[in-house]
Amino acid sequence: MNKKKINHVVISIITLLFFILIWQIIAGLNLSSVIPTPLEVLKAFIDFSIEGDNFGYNFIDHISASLLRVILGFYFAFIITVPLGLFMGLSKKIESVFNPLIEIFRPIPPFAWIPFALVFFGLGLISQSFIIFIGAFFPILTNTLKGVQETSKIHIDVAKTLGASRSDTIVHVILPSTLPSILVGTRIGLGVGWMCVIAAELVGLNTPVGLGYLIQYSAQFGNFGLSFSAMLLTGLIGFGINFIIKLIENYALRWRDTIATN
Amino acid sequence: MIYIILCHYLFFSIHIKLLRGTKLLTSKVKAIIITAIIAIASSGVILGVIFLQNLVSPSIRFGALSGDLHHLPLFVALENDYFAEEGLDVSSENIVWFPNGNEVMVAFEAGALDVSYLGLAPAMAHKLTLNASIRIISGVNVNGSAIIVKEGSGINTILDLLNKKIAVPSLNNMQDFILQIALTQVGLSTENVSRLVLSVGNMENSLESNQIDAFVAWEPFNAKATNIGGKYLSKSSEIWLNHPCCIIAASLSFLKNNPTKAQKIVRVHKRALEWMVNTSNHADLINVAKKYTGIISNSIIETALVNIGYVYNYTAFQLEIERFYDDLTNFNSNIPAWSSGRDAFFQEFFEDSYLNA
Amino acid sequence: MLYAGGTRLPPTKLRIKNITKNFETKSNKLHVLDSISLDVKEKEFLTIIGPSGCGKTTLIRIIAGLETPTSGRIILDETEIHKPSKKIGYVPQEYSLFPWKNTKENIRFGLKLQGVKKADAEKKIEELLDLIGLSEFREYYPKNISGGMKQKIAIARALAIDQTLLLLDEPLISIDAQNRNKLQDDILKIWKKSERTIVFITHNIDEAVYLSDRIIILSPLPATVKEIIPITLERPRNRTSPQFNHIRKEILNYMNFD
Repeated sequence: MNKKKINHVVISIITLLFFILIWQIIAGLNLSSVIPTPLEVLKAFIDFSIEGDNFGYNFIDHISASLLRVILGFYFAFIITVPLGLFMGLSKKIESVFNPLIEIFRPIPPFAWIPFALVFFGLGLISQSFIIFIGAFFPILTNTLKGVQETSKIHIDVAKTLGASRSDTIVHVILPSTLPSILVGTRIGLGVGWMCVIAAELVGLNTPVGLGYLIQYSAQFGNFGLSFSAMLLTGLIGFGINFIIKLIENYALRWRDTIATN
Repeated sequence: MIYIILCHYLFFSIHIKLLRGTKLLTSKVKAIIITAIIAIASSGVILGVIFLQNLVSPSIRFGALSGDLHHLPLFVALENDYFAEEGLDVSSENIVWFPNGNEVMVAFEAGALDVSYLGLAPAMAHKLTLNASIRIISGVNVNGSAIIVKEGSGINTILDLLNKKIAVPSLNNMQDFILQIALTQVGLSTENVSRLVLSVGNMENSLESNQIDAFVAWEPFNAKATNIGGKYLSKSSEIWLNHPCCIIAASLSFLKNNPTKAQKIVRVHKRALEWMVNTSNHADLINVAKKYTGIISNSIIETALVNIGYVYNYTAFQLEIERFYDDLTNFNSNIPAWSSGRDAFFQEFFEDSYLNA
Repeated sequence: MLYAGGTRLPPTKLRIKNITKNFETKSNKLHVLDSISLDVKEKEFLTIIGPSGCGKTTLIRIIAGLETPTSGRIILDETEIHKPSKKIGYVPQEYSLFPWKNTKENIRFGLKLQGVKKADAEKKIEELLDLIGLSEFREYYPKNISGGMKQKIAIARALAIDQTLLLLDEPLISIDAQNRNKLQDDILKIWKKSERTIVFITHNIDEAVYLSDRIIILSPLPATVKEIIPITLERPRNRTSPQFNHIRKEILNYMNFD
């Protein structure tokens, strides 16, 4: 098993190196100053890490600013959608009350809410987090609801014959059964939220800290090496978030039977 | 605040009760502990959020345009701590930077902004069309924009702009208005060109890759374009000498509740101007300009500065302002004239009293 | 009915009285069970056999209280059954262990609901694990356990709460032939040791003859009690003995529906 894992890592590294090589070639063609070479990106990354920007913000500041908006928006989405999804799954009446609203609002992209957010929350952190809230809301809700509805009838029946009351069934059967779906929804919600925050920062209306803001601002002044660095960081952090949730999933759901084998 | 915490707590405990029913739980103690933990944890988060919100929410909600050298007095004031000296909570951390003047107006209209530096065109346009609740409390600059084209593109006069693709930061903003005037002067109109909206940061690259034929921007983006083979087709001062450009606007409610603060803001602005005209500060001035615009070349800043006239007392330009109003309403069918006439409009729109701050 | 080897009639554990079940769909009415009546004796091993799809599962679910009959009553120990309760244990056909719990935790489930203290529960669980012979698997999760073992654990889980009637719905249907015989013995062992009354469903005649005190043969839809076959052979029964074969043939005949 160890050997296989090493093989995987080696393959990944080779793929990455190959990609960097192609990148260098394309950038080297000098089609436009907009495409920096890998070396330029590395240099810009190092320079910025040492000096920070004009206002003294460094990468950590920008990253934490974006992360904070995501975490805040996600938190509120989570604590509302999980109970909501649960109650909707448990009661057809509650589901029918909320369903039409959800179906109408779900296709609306988060940015469309910006004017609304402005009026209610003004400019600033809460407003920005609200956009993230909208982005994370529907994936978590949909998955939670699905998880509840897909609870196995067999399990519920057996629980009843073991003396479970309705509330026992909810707590001891439906909830654990729904946990995998909730985690999936969380992973997707966080992913969407992270993309939302970067894009929301690109649009502006923000204090000058944030990874998305950095991408736009550095491109604006021709520092494409820095812009690319920030883009790569965005991707890395998105990957990192996904990875962490996956770890949590794997631990919390270690009882799951999976199709994939080593 | 406490209200929010209580709500949060109630929220969780209600949910848990609902889930578990009112039946006696097998482990009552456990349930109580869990509920308590959740309540404390969420209260903690709520408190944290509120604390943060207080940190990030300044007492004056102040706006300006991103990387706009017209707002240099503001940058100077921030660097020299003039706001702090007047006891005002305005700093580079809590200023909101907008991509163009129309976004500023949207924020004003949403009630989310108190004071901002922005162009006179979008401010006046919104006042005329939507009766936006703002007043102008100070001028900021005249001139300072330009139409930029590429060297060797064959565009040498305004007439050559016929059927060309021109980027503006926003429709009906200052730069768009300047373009309008330039076109009208040679018998053309905006119908004879193809305008598109781009953020100023992206204009230079689009010009370089020939996606657009020309753009109109505020300094220093015009000066900066000379690096990639851009040239000044026409400075805005050449189109209309000493046209009003940026101003300081404040919301009516802010003025009503904080007249002294408004006074101080204009005073800060004037102090910055005094500092700026002092030639011994020139080197520092260049550095401030570089810091707030991200430009790294001194010569570009110098070129840009030549194009801008920093003036706060707009009353000295009464004729220009009247012409501004006339052109704005005449050239644009969507911007109506003020129902009670131009003079009444100026009375309501401009607040001169702060000028002698 | 006489109880072979004894002089007294054992008490009746379960009365199934005139159970009729119809399912209504948009287009038609499906008569599944038609006035089924029978008595199950205390500590008896009763098997209900019938062709596939004849409503055996429906009947057992009604007994368990998981479905309501269109008419008729179920009476357990003088009390009527309307809904599922811990008085009647139920092991469905499908694998039903909670996958997020390991063996121990699965068995513990009913005890947890009753608030049994940890120490007492542990003791009980160990006894049951011993009974089903799976003590080493106490920390395993269902994903790592074979089908036969899963069903045994499901039975142990049901037994943990000391009800006196156990319903087993074709528990060995997905088990391969080799293991099935061994598991049948295991079930008999569990039955004897736990002293429960068992109602067992299968469509496998051999299995029915091997396990049961009595066999109830159901007709195809709408199901009624076609025949009741008592089996008095001593256990462990010899699957190849002439008496065994004779009974098997008898049942086969009854089940040859035209």
